[in-house]
Amino acid sequence: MAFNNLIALAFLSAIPVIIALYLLRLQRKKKIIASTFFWTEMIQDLQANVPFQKLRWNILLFLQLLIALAIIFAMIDPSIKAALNEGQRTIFVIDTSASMSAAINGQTRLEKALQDIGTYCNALSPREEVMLIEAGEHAQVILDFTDNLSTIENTLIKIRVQDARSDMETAYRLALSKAGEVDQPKLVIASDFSGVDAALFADSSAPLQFLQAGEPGNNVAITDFSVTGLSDNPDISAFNAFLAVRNYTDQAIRSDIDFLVNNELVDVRTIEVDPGSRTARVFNDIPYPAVTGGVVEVKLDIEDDMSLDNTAYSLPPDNSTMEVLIAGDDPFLQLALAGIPGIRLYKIGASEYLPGASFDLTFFPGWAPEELLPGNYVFFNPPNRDYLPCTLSDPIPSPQVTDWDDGNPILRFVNPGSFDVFTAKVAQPQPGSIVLIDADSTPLLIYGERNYLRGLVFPFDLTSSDLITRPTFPILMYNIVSFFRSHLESSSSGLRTQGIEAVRVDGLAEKVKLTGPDGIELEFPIDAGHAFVDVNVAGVYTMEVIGGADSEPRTMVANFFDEEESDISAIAPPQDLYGSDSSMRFEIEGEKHVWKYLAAIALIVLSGEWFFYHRKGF
Amino acid sequence: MVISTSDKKNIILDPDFLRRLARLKIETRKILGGVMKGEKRSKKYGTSVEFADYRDYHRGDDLRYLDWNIYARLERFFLKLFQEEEDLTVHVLVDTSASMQAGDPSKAIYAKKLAAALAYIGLTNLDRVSVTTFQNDIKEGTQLLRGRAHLATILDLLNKVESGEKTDFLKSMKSFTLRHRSSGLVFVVSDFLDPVNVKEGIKRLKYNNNDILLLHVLDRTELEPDLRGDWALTDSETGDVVEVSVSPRLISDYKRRMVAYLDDLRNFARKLGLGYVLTTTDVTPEDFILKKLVVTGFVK
Repeated sequence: MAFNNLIALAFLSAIPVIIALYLLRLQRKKKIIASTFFWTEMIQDLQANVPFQKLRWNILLFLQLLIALAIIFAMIDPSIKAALNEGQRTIFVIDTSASMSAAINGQTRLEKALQDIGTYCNALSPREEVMLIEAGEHAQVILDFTDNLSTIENTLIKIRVQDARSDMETAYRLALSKAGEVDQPKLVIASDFSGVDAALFADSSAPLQFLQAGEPGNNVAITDFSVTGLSDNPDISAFNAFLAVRNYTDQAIRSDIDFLVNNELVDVRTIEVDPGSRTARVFNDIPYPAVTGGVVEVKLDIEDDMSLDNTAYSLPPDNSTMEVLIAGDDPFLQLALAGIPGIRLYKIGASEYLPGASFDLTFFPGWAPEELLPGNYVFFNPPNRDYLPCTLSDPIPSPQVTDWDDGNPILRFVNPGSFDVFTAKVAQPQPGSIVLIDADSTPLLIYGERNYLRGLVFPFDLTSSDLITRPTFPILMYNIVSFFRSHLESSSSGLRTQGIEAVRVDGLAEKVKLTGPDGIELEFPIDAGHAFVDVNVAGVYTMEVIGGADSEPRTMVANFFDEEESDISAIAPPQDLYGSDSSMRFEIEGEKHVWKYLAAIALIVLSGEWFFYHRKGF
Repeated sequence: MVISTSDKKNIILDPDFLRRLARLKIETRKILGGVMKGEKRSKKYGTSVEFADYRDYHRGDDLRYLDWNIYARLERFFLKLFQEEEDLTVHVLVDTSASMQAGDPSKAIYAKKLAAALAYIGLTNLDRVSVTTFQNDIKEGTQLLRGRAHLATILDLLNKVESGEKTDFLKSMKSFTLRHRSSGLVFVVSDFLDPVNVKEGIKRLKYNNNDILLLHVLDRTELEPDLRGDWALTDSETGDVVEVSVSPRLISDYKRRMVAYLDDLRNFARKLGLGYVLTTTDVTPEDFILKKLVVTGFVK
């Protein structure tokens, strides 16, 4: 308890005055009467019948002192800590990104955050209202200002983690906008703040507090998975699969990998990953029941603090035709790709290319457009672009190959040491990108994926090397096509839980309907022959195309592959974001001034004292 | 209630009051000294009876005792009175204790007036009258007197006596009965605010076969206190102080007790065959004697 006006203690000097007045009051008027016989009798009876007669006199003094103390205490203006903010409008921005599913001691980060919010809401001040904004893949207001505790609780119960990264910036801006519409706003950001840019909150126009949810955890995550194709062994029904696993812990792990087809275990393999490292492997000859077929599911058999990214899905081996485009002029490339089965090759001039053209794979020989939409791309000696998995600088002569990732499917049966590069730009891989071929002075092949733009970059022109003369060139091209085939959007089978995916459908169709895990049903409109679908739960979906000629339900899978979101090893506490200002932290406390209650007590006691004194005939 | 600081105020009996008192006679209801109870007293007149005094003629008096000589001189009728050995002995006991100072006029003044009036009635009727004051014991008193001329003596006595002592009714009555062994009619004028000793004192008084009339004198505020608030009440006799915070409920309780006490005293007197009459000082002595006292039969 705090006392905000201690100078009022000076009024304690009134206490002895009250006592003195009380004593003076007891000086009765004197009178001589003939006989006190009857009065004495009555007083004796009174004292006999009311054992506490004396005490009643003392109670009056006590009551008057109590009144004085209550008033003086009220004047000191005491306040107590309480979650009471009268008339305040509190806006909770709740992070529902995938990292909030990390569970320590059986409670996820989101559950912790919701619990703290629930505790706060159970102690709302008079006229205080609460708004809830979900910072999921998309920011939205899920509960407008209300003080109805039942409504708040029912809304909190329904909040779920999304298998996606949160759009915290949009959610924060939305919260600021709502705060600007009310008096006494307060923003509370409930998040693990993983991957949050501190500068985002620097310009808050409303009081801002942070509710940190969760603790650092250990995680091993599948960061990529795809069925790359059928086994080379024609005698068996099997497939090959590409799997990338990242170990965010500080210890090496060795984990079994369960391969399931239609929820039935078909194979178990093993993977080892060094601490803090990423390992990509191709698993060959995984049995596939050709008769029944079905979705391929892979599971890491490991216990970690985030299970969301321990499972991935891929569709069965697919030999459908792949739409491949060469945007530019390169005869060697065209020649190498033309011989690859299962593709339909297109060629246009660089100036004719428009981003958004829906091809399964596009090659850019010697150039790159300013902007690109998500898709699969291969770049040869491109200029610097933001979306590339690397930055490029001035070329250097004759880089010598020093290493390559022979486990990567792209380099399967490829010998990078067999060709020379005469001139190559110096490439600096972006964080998260993979160097497939490394040289002494620059990587020579980099793969990366950013915002579902998958790019493979050769920082040299084909004509600046003898690669096109080597037998490894067509093999490399074949591998590239096969690799990207597993990420096809043309067959629209592989979705990501982050972002909107363009799914090609019959142009006469009206809409598509997706039925997903746990009975989720989603509908999406169709525009220009594409359905722009947005799913944020990983799993297997069935898509129905409503209208048009394509009536066959299509199986689709959605995966959560986000290396940044899967990294739950560190949490950035708000004070680390804002220095040592711990007042920014969310505390379920406030200061409530209680003088009004003390004044009410004084009034009640005064009424009682009047009743006893006047009515009872003291 | 007012306690007079002194009752030095002299007792004065209004001439008109005296004239009316002269028409009254004191009667006893009991057999006293050979006189039959209930028998109307009459004065025995004869040559063997000693002339005592004159009084005005009242219609109904025996014409044989008119003094014609006075009539011849003054043309007014006067009756001769003769002394008789069996004349009534009247004792008037007056409480002059400190408690009698209460009231305005004080009970003491009032009691003295009553005593003087009763004495005058007796003297006028040639009764043998004594007036005795008492407090914690017998104080001043007269011997038995006869004749109106002794009224001044009685008045002097009453005016001289000052109230002040504590009441001891029993002791006072004991002392009185020791001094006056023959029976007679006793008027006790008091506030009887000595509940402990009153009954014993009264019983003592009866030992001599006295016919007793208790004249209970109280101030109106003693019956109906007008106190409110916080008081420190001091007993005028004992000096004891009682602190009270007077409330309506307390007043009600006081009245109830007072009424109970008065009823108890009245019933006690009745059981003993005594006369009892209550008066307050707001009733004038004249009205009391001429209207209320005559009802008791002790005065006619």
